[in-house]
Amino acid sequence: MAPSLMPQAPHKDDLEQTWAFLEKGIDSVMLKLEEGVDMKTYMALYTAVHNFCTSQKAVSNGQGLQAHRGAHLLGEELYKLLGHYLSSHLGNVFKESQSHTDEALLAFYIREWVRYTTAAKYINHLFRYLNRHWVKREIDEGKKNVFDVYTLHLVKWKDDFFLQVHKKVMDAVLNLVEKQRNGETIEQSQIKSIVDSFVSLGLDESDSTKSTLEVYRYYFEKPFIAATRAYYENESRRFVSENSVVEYMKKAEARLGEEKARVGLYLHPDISKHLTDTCLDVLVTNHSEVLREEFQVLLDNERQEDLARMYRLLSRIKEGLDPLRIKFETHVRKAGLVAVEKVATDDSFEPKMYVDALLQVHTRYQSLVNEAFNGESEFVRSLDNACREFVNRNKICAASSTKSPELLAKYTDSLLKKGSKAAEETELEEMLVQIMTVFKYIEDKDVFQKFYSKMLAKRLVHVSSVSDDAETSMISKLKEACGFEYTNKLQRMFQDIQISKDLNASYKDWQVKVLDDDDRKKLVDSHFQILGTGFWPLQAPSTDFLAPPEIVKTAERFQSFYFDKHNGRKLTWLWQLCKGEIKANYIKTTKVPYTFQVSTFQMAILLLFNETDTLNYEDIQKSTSLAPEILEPNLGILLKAKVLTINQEGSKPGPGTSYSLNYNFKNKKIKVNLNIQIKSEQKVESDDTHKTVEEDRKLLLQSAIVRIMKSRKKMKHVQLVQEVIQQVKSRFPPKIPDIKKNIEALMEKDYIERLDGDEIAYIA
Amino acid sequence: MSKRCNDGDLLAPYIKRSRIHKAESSNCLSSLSDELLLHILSFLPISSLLLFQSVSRRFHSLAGDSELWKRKYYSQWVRPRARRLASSKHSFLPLSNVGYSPRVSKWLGHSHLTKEGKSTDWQKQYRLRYNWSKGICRATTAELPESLQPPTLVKFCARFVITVDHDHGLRVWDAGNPIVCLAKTPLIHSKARTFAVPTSLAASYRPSQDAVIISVGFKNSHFSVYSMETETPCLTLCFSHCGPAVGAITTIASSYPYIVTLSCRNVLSLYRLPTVKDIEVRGQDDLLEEASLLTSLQSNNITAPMTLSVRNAGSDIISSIVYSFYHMGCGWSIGIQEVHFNERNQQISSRSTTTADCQFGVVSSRPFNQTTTRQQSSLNDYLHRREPSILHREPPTSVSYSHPYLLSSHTDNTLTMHLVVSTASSLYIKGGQRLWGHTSSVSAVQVSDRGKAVSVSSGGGGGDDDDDDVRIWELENLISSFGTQKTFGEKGVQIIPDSKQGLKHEDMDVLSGVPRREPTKDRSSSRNKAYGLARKHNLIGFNDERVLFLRETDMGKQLLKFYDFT
Amino acid sequence: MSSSNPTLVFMSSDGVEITVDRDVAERSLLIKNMLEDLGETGEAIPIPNVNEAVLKKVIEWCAHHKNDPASTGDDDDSRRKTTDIDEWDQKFMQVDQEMLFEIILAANYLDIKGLLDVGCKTVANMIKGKSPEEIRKTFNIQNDFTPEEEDQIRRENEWAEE
Repeated sequence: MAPSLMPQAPHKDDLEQTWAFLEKGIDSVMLKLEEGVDMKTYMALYTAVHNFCTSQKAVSNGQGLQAHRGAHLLGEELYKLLGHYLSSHLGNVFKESQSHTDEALLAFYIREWVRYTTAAKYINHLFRYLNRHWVKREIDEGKKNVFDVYTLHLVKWKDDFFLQVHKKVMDAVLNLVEKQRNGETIEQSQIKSIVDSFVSLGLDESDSTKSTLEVYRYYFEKPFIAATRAYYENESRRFVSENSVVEYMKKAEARLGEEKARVGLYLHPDISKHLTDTCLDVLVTNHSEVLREEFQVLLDNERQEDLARMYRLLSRIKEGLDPLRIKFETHVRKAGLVAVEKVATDDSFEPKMYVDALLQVHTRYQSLVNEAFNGESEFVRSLDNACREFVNRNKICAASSTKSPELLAKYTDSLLKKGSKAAEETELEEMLVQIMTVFKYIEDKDVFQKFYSKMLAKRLVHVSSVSDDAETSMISKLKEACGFEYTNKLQRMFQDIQISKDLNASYKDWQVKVLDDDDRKKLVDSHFQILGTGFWPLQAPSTDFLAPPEIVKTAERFQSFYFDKHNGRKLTWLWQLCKGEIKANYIKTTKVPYTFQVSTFQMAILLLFNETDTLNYEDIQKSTSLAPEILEPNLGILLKAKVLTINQEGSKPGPGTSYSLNYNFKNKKIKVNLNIQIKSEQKVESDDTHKTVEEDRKLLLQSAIVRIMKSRKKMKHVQLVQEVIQQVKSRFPPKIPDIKKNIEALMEKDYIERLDGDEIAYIA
Repeated sequence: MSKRCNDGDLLAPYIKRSRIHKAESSNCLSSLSDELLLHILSFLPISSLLLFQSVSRRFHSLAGDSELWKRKYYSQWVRPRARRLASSKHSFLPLSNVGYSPRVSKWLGHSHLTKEGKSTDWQKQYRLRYNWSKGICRATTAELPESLQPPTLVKFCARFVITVDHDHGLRVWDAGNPIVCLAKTPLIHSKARTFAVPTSLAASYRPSQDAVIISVGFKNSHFSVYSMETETPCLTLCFSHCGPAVGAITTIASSYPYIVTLSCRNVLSLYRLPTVKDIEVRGQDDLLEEASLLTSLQSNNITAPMTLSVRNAGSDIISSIVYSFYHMGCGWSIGIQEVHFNERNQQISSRSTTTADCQFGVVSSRPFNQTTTRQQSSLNDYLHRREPSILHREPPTSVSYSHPYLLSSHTDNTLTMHLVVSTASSLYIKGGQRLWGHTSSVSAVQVSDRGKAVSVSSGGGGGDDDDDDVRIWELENLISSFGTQKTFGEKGVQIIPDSKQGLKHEDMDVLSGVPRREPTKDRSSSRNKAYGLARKHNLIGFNDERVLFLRETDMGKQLLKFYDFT
Repeated sequence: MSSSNPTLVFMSSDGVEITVDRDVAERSLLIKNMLEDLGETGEAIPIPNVNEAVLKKVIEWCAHHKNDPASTGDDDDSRRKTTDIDEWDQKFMQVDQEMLFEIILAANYLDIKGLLDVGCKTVANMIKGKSPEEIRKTFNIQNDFTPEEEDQIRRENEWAEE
């Protein structure tokens, strides 16, 4: 290879010569790079820049010492000349660009950009010595508008070319994008190249080593967004007028997806949010009224899929869902009320029907919230609000708001009592869970508690629970929902029964030790339950009662055992809850004598007939001491079961009547249950329960007031009322006049006193 | 730029090259281009650089290169601080940020050293900073002209000394050359057309207009505001206010367009001046009594020393008064009251706090004291161990407050530093740090907004030199070591005027147009007699280059004393 | 030319061809950038500003330092604090003053930062601890101050102790 000659090097002190030499070299890099740059030229150009900058010119510093302080680096002239060169080059490029439009212009822009930036990289290297020293120092000194050579290229491109053509270029870009939106295929890579170029032009004015997206945002994003807006405004307006709302939602969802994909395909990720917001604004917000109007229709027709789509669209705009939630809440409440009304048409509906109606509505809309509304918490809240409304305020509750908890408690009782239909344990558990769903919405939780504990007491005393497991499961659910205090008594009741079992066992052992043979012969097989007075919702019998001597003896023996164990305790016999079995040996019609299951009262009556076959009303009353309102219905039951016959045919039990034992008694079963609850008792019981609720509420309010005042010492009246509401609202919604009344009551009792200025103080 | 060497040499390049080559070999160092020489010099320590400046003209210029010194300045003064901040517990700066950046705006708290379009002489800045750190300065004194109706009030702001008295009116002097009166204006009250007796003076620099705003309060409870551009010193009366008669204005402070005044009857008033726009619209004549009174407070139980301040905090204006009072528990304490305004001049809040808690916390932690210990940081426990308490039996001799620093000087040779914490929700004072170093009663302290403080005590050591003990404190260093052992090593930097180093002591001429030269035959021995026993010191102020004192001799003369650190 | 260790050929200003390992040559940013731009052509690379003797010296340094980590940027401040030079470099720099400056110029031209720093540190060490007169003597510099100016500078610069 013949060594080519080194290009003639310019005189290092001579600016004109140096620049002429450099310009020629730069020209070939800028315009004929595809022909290649030979190494000798490359080295010569670098060397020319180096030599010029290092030519140590004898600069005289003037005479004084202060005349020129500091170093003086060379290179400014080269920098300026390079800048001029670039400006004139770009002037030519611009002229040429004017003959192009649309895609041809894009192709031209991209071609020139690639050529220019490639050259810029070369020239930056060739001028590296300038960058290293003169440029760096200018920047260090804080001079504005001095850049490294590569950046200078970008700045020039922006100022001398870009600013003149950006509009035309963007028009071309937007035309392409519109074509694509209309379904045509376009060359996406062109747009991507344009985006990259625009992004490259963003320079941080204060620090050229950093880039910003300012240029891209202003010159690309802004027009792009504007065009997108115009396009979709147009399209959506047309589409909505020609199609159904359901169809429009499908279209809008598809368009949103397309635009999101577009960002990934050829746009800068920076535009993503802005573009999405614009599309949402045009496609959803602008049509949100129409969409919302459709909501009710979709709800009525249970169009779950379309509801889900509407949710997805509206959830993406600001406050898009609020109106839907309001509509949804109203809709659910109405559905609940309608369901309850259907139940209420029949007067003698079962609690189960009522609870089922409530649950059905809840279940349906809960699944809608989960499926269509993504289980979103605000919708859940709307659902809860609606349910709370129709559970506590519906037609059945119209008379008394405590009807719901009462019915729910009764339904629970029916499930937990022996003989319920839900035999399967898992099934029962599931139903208890459902009960808790309704329970959650009940406002008068204390009423539920009252009824529940009454019925629990009965189940326990009569040993009629379906299973201990089911009982504990329910209690623990209530505890979880309302806390320890709420279920405290229920748990204690449960415990009493357990303790009683142990007690009876040890009583038996005791009897073995204590009794003699004679006693043992007359022994009545007995079982005792010791129920703590404070925990059980039970009252002492409302009537006097002389228990039959057999029972009295048994009871006294147990008492002596018990007092032996627990000295100083007091026992009250709840005769009205006691029961026993007696054998009717007098009836000879069967081989095995009939066994009557009877209450203690009935037993007392029947045992009287051991002595005689006929007794009159007055005798019975005298021997048993039972009050007429207890005695008469019990006689009634015995008559109805034909265990006794009344001697005055057709009369009702009452003074002046007499009764005979029926030796011809017949029944299909050997065991005959005579211990049936008397109808009137049921009603009285329910009324009593409501009365005790009122009483308890008063106590609850007063104890809350005292508790608050004890810890706060001093408090404004209004604040106190607020605090009380906070404390008790988990049990029942208190009425403000009630709170005030109780505050007054406590003042009278000198727990608290009124100070000046509406303040209340605690009296220690 | 001057034209390149072009001697019309027609010799072929190769011939020239070889000739230059020969010349180079005889003097290689000088033949290097500036950028290479700078690179070499960048490896030299300060002392070598300074010596190198004496080698030749070219090297004098190169070794004084501003970029070179900027880097030295950074290494010496900026980086250590950035490191400390970055490594401190509550750091908000990554340690990686401590690397040198040629952008001064990225140096923490140094942006005041550069101005757009102006180059900074970094060698000079370095030397200034060095002198401050060592307390090296040149002392000069000048006598104030006597006024028939004392007092003469003096302030120091930007590079100007501002004096005001009844006879001569308001005058502005160049601190670098106090003979030159740059501007003056008589104190004619524009409405009453009578000479007024000035009782207080304040000056503040307004960077946005490159102007000094001067406020003068008068005995008749009026005040006037003047402005002066620093480039062309010329005093313009922008505003004159005749307020209600609340007594002589004893203290005044301003942060344009807000003025806060305190009268001898302890009435505090905050005014907003009409803006320049208003002035242009209405014309000068209508401006009297146009300042809107935003608020006025009166208190009976506050005592001097007091100080006022107004500052902008975001869009809010905070006006505060710092005062002394006697606290039953912990002796003399300092209280601060802040009034907040938003940009629409609506009062947002008024709140106050005192140093009593800080002091009390210290007192209460004494083992034999039965007072329940309040919730106090371990800082106080710590202080207690070192210090029985902060208990001042005498009122402070001066207080100075520049947010967040609150300093007071005391007769017990100490300063006490507190930090004021003012947030949107609360105002409280923390810290409570004694500064030791002075050996006699400290008569005055002043703190600047950049956390530098200067304090002065009368020459305690006796001897025939009555020079004051002046100390410089870098408060930020003290704060960062709050509660650590380091604190007590800090005694501040004592200023050593070069006169003590045996250098020539120049007594400057008096400020007045008619110079009154002091007898100069034997300075060192006659000084005491000539000036009388200077016992009353007044610290006027300081800026980046100088500290200024006013001293009163027993002959009733007032002397201005400059400590020049350039 | 072994494929595992590609080489380049330099042509010094006085026309001598020198073969260099490519990784050694790329210590020079100038060469590195050029190869990046032009690719390898196989022709000799002209180094118009450096003669054979100096170029060989520079290549020697680069070969010794070819595995050094790349410079961490210009603002490595700890670098400026110390004029410590490692032992090999010190030995390497034990050359006459003319050669020392030629090396500095070449390193600057070829853009070899490490070598430039070592050279400049060497010169800085020659300046350190010398009086102005000694410096003038060492580097053959003419004192062009008037006595008054010299006095003024001395006074101005008295403040530093260090």
